[in-house]
Amino acid sequence: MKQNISWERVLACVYKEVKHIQRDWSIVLVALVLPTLLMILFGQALNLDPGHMKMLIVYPDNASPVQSQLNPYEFSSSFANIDVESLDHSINSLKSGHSRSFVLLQDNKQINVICDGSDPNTANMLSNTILGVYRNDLSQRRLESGQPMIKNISVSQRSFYNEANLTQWMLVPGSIAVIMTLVSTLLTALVIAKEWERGSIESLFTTELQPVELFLGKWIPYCALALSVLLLCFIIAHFCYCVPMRSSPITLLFVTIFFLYATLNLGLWISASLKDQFLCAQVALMSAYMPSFMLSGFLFEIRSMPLFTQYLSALVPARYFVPPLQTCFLVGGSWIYYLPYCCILLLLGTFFGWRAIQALSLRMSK
Amino acid sequence: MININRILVLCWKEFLLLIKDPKARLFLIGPPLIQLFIFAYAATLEVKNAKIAICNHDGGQLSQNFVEHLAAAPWISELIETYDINQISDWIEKQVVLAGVIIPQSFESNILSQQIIEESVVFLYTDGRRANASQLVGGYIQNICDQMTREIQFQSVAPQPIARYWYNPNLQAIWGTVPALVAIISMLMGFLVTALSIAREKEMGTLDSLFVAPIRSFEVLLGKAGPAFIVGMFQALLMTLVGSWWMQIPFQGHLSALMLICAAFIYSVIGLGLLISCLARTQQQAIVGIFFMMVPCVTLSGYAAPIENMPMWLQYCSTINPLTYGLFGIRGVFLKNLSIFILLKLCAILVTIGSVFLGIAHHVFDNRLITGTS
Repeated sequence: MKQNISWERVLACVYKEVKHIQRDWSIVLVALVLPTLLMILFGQALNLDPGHMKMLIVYPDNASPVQSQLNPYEFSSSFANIDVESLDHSINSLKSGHSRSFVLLQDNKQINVICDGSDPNTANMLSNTILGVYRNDLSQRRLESGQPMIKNISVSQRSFYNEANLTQWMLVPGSIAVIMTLVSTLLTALVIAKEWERGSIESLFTTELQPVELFLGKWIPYCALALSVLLLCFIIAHFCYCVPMRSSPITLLFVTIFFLYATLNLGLWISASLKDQFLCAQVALMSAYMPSFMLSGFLFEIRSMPLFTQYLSALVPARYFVPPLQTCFLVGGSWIYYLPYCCILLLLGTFFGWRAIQALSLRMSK
Repeated sequence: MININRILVLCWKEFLLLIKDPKARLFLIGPPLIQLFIFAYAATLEVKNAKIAICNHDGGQLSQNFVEHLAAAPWISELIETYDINQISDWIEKQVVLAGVIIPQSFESNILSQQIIEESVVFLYTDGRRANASQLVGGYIQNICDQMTREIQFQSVAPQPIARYWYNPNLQAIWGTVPALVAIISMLMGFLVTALSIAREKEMGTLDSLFVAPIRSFEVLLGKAGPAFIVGMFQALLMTLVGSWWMQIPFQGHLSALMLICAAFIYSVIGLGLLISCLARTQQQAIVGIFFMMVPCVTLSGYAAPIENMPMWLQYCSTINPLTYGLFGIRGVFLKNLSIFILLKLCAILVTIGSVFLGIAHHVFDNRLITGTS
C-alpha cells in the first residue's frame, strides 16, 4: 500500500517541527550565539605567532652581554618578553611552564636554543623564529665589522589568494564547516530519537504519515535553520574579519546546500537507527563533530596523516566542504573546481538518506 | 547532615544505569579509544607527503644541486617539474600542488659573484588558502637554502646554533598530542555522562520521584557525580595505558601523580557538567550546553595555540578553564615529570574551580527544580 507523498502532510510535519524549534531556547543558542562565539574564538584565540612568548637568555658565567656573540636587543624586535637569567632559573621555568624556551650561550661560542618539546608545534615555531633572528643578527654584525658577507640564499615567498598569509583567512572560512556540521548533524541526530524517548512517535504511527514524509518534515526546517546560520557566518566573516568574497555568494549557497544534503541525512540516519538520545549524541559527536574538526583539512593537512586516517577522512562530509569554502572566499574559481566536491557530497548524502529512510520504514512498519 | 549511605545508594543506582545497557556500556569504552587512535595520528601540524612543483630557469650545477636537495627532502613525496610559471599558479589554484619553487635564471651567477648587492633568491609560491601549511613550507625551504649556503661556503666562521627540544628530543608531534587528548577526551566524556544525567531524569519524569524521597538536593548531585567520577578515572587510565604501551609515549612521571591530577581535573569537569545539566530542561539542551562549554574550553586551553598569544580578555577567560590546568598537568606528568609542588598547586586550582561550579549547580538545582520556578 505504497502511497504517493502528500505535501500537505509534509507541511504539517514541518509546521510541527518549527513549533518545537520555536519553543526551545537551546536551538536559538546554536543558531545565533554559537556561530558568533566560534567565529570570535577561531579568529582571536588561534594565533600561532611566537612573538608574545617569554624567552630567556643565559650567558656564560664570566661573560657580560656586551662581549657575547648574541645581542639581546636584536631579539626585542621579535619577542616582547625577554629576560636574562641564570641557568638554574631557566631550567626551572622551562619545567614549570613559565617560559617555553631559552637561549644558552657557552664559553666556547656554542649557541644552544632550548625549547619545551612537550608542545611540539609551538616549539617548532619558536626555534625557527629564534634561529631566524640569530641569522639576521649575525649577517648584520659581519656587515658592520667589514668581514666578508655570507651569501645566504633567501626565499622570497608569495602566498597566493592570501597575500599577507593571515591564518584568520584560512580559519574563518574553515570554521563555517564546523559550525554547519554542528547545526545540521548534531541537532538532527536528536530529533527522531527524542520522539522515540518521549513516545510521541507512537502517535505519529497512528496517522497516515509515510516514512519519507516524516523524513522531509524533519529535513526542511533544519535545512532552513542551517542556511540562516550560513548567512550569519557569512556576515561575520566578511564584515568583521574582512575575509574577501571572491566568488559569488550564489556559489557559496550552492555548495552549502550539497553539504547540508549530506550532513542532514547523516544526522537523520543516526537518529532513526538509534533510539537513545545519549547514544545519538555520542555517535553524532564521533562521526560528525570531531571529524569535521580533525579530519576535514580545516586545521591539519590531510596529506600529512597516515594512510588509514586519510581513508577514513574520505567518509567525512566536511572534508569535501572545507576546500570549496576556502576557495569560494579566497579564490573564486570556475564551476569545474566545485563539481567533483558536489558530486561526492551528493553521493554520500544519497547513501545516508537511503539508510535513514530505510531505518525509518523498518521501525514504522512494525 | 549529609548521609553517606543515601549517597552511596544513589551512586549505585546511577552506576547501574550507566553500565546495564550493553550499548551504553560499549559506548563508555569504545569512543574514547577510537578517538584517541584516530586523532593521535591525525592531529599534526607538520607538512608531510607534499606535492611540490619546481620550475628551474637556471639549469646550472648549483640549481641542479638545489633540486636534488628538494627531491631528497623527507617531507616532499612528489616533485613535479615544469618550465612554465603560469602552470604553477594554475596548479596551485586547482590544489594539485601545495607550493611551487621557482629558481630564477640568475641563481647561480648571483651566488658566485663577489658583489654583496646581488642576493640569490629562490621564489616560493604557496597556496594561501592553507596559510599554516604555507608558512611551514616556507620554513622548510629556508632550511634547505641554509644547508646549501653552508655547503657552498666552506669557511663557516660563525658557530651554528643548535636547537634542542627538551622532553621530546625528536620533536614528535604525537608525544604532545596523546597526553592532550587524554585530557580533552576525558573532559568530553565527563560532560556527556554528567550533563545528560539530570536532564534525562527531567525528561522522563523520574526526577519527581527523587524529590519525594527523603534525599537532600546536594546528595542527589553527589550521587550523580560519583559514578561519573569513577567512569572518568577509568577512561583516563585506559587511555594513558594505551598511549604509553601502544603508541610508545614515554611516561616520565609517576602513575599516582597522574591519578592525582586526573582526579582533580575530572572533579572540576563534573562540577561544570552538573551545572549544565541543572540548567538544561531536555537532553537536547544539555548536549547543546556541552558544545557551548567544550568548544571554548578546547580553544582556550593552549592545545591549539599558546595562551600567551591570545588577547588579554581571552587570557582571563582561560584562567577559569579547567582544561588549561588539566592539559598542562597531564602533559607535564607524561613528559616532564612535573614536580609534586606544581602538581599540588594545579590540583588546588582545579578543586577550587570544581567546587565553585558545584556550588552554583546546587544553587540552580534548588531554585529551579525544587521550588519549581523554572
